[in-house]
Amino acid sequence: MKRANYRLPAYLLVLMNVLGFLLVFMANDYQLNVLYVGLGMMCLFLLIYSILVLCRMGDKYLVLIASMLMTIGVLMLCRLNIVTGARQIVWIGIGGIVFFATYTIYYNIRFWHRMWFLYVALGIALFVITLVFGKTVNGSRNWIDIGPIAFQPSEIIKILYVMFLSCHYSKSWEKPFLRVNPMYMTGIVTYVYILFLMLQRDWGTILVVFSIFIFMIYIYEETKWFLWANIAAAVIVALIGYKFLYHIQVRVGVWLDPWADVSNKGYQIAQSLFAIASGGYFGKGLGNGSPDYIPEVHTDFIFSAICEEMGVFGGAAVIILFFLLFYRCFKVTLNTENQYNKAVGAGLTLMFALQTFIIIGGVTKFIPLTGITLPFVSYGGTSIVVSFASLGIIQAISAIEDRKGAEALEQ
Amino acid sequence: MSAYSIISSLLSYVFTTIIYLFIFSVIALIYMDIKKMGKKEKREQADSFALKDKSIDHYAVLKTVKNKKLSDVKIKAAYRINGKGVIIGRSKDCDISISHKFVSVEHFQVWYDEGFWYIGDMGSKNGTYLNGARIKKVKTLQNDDRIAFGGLEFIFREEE
Repeated sequence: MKRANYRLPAYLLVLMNVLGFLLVFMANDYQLNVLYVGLGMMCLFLLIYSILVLCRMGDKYLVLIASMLMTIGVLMLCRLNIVTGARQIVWIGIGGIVFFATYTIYYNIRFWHRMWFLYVALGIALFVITLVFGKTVNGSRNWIDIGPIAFQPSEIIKILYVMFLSCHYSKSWEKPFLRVNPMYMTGIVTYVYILFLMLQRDWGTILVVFSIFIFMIYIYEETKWFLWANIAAAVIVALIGYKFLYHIQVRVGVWLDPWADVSNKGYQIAQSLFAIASGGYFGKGLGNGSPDYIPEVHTDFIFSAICEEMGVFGGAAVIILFFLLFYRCFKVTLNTENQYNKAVGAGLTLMFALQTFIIIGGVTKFIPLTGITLPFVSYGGTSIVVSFASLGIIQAISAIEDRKGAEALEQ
Repeated sequence: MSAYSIISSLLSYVFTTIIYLFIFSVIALIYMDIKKMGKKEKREQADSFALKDKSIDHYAVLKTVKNKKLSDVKIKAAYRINGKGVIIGRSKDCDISISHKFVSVEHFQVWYDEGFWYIGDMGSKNGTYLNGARIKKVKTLQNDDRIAFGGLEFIFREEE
């Protein structure tokens, strides 16, 4: 059998970074700062990858695939606006630190499954803080300013929510709380969260949280009527939302026919479709297209920009990379024997997968558009850091399992 | 057309190639990983089959001892068990599932190996008692041993 070549993908990653940043260097009047920043990011990726491989910290491919996705994202952001790109690289640096911090904390603490109350309390506290001190951006009141940094608490709440659900689904929390069966408690907490998110008008997160809930019930819950009841509730809430909320009516209307009001409401999605169409197979090349016409191109619509400048093959490659990432995450989840870790792994993978599906489906007009970030690719500090944190948890889960397997072999 | 845009459009082909090469190299690595794991699993499976084949011909009976608590528990008068091992607990996936609040999800297991019957506690909350003494890990079983767990009691008897 051929020996596993762990270096080849790393070399390709380096090649991609070198060529990409030379191109950005040319586009920005040969400012040396660009090269330094690019070099910094490349070294960061290599450092994380080599630490993971050399110290045998679990699955080797998760970070490798995520690094490639981030490289594509950062090159696109640097081409759109060099300042945003540089800021994104700073966030990736912070994300790398958070990755190892989460890994260490999750790996060493073994009583996560007993703290469901803490997760709910933290989640609700974050919601209340957002409602009181929050700042409104693009119609959603979901930002908090702390000095120089602004962040979205809803991204952190998603992880806490998955950890809360896992407490119940791993059967480590079976005692009724205030005479309410845990199964109903998960439902109550979910609907309270959705109420808070509705007050914040953060529709994208509602969709993610509720889909995670439905999928987790589908995977774990033995009482089948609970699943159907929740699906029915979702349909009813969606219909009521469509009937009474102007915002949702606009989104669905634009999805059905963006050309009806192309200069105003349908402008964003129409520009996105134009961008995807004009790319061709191999794309126009970084800097040759005009993705600036799409509003919010650096966060929600980055996939359209990638399709325009890197072509349909580039866009498909991004999707394949995401597929590989989710495949590895599910593999880690399936291999785990600890029930709590299994549930957390499944929940976090679902979170990534649903977010990717919702936003890529949205910008290609496959489903109605809701604004959320594409994990690892879009610009956004909280998004990058929280994605890194989730990846750190999955990495820790795979490392725990690996360590156990190694001990079993020695005995 | 400026020099930059020419270079950039040429590089777009290079980028696509690099990304796909990257994807293929990662898939190749994952594929090799799976092949290795598949071999290991097959070996383990073969081992466990060999074990089961020897112990599958041995049977024993767990007879339930009648007491007051039995009125609200669904339990048979006796269970015939196989030497390849049975798990007794509250979970529906257990070989002998007893839905009683003092029985843990997976309470204890009984199996046969090389001439002896064994009993092992599976980390139950209320413990498993063999002839009145709480068992820590694994004990051998003799005929007419009394196994108490969560207020219920079995008598173990080997079948010839």
